[in-house]
Amino acid sequence: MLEETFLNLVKQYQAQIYQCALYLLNNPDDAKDVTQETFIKAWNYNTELRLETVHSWLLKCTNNLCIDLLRRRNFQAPLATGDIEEIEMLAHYQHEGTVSESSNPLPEARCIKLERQRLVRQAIAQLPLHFRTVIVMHEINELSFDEIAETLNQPIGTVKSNTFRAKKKLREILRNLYEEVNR
Amino acid sequence: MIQAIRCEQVHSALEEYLDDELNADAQVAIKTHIAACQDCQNELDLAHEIGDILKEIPKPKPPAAIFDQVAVYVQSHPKLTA
Repeated sequence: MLEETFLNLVKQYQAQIYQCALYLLNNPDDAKDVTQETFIKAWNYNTELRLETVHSWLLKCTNNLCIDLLRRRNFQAPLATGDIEEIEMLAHYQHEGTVSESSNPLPEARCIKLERQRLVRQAIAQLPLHFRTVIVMHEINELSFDEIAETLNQPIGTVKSNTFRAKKKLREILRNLYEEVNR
Repeated sequence: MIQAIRCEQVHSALEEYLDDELNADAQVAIKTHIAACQDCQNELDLAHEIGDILKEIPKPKPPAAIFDQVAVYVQSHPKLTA
């Protein structure tokens, strides 16, 4: 693969790879490192890469690098306050930049929405890794069940079942978080 | 004949119900149960709310340094490819 073609692929997929790593690891610095490492591995693997399969190859590589990192950290997605605040700040400024003044909801409604988004992010971070992986790929990366099955090399039935179980677990965690907030 | 079902069965099948993954009888049984059960209606509302939040969840852009550093690496490690 030529250098120019490869760098166009980096431009095309870096956002998806970064967001996948960010929600799996819950740490912007680690997500940045994993994204870079994914593309560097891809470049080193250059002669084997095919345009038709590069997307799932990149996601699979990202997922494996995240698992390795989390394994070294005993499978905990770090939830340091600074990391959460940084993700919120990044998201906030980008959101503000893309929403017109007239479409902004009322401040109170916006506060509630941001708080609920924060709780959902916290709930995702509390999911076991195999559930977090399918939720991130399905909901954040917007991959179909077929694409997730290809990426994770799992039968589609397993992917569907894990996704439904992950959503149930997410609902359970979130119900508890809502109760804690309302106490 | 459509069997009556319990709240726990509704709670554990809500995601499949929302994705229309159950057989027709089970879909109807759950719909009927939810229409008459406030607790299960609340659980369905929570599932809908999570779905709505996930659709709008922030997706931060990658830092520019990622592309820049990958580009530097690629340019300093050329490949002899066709």
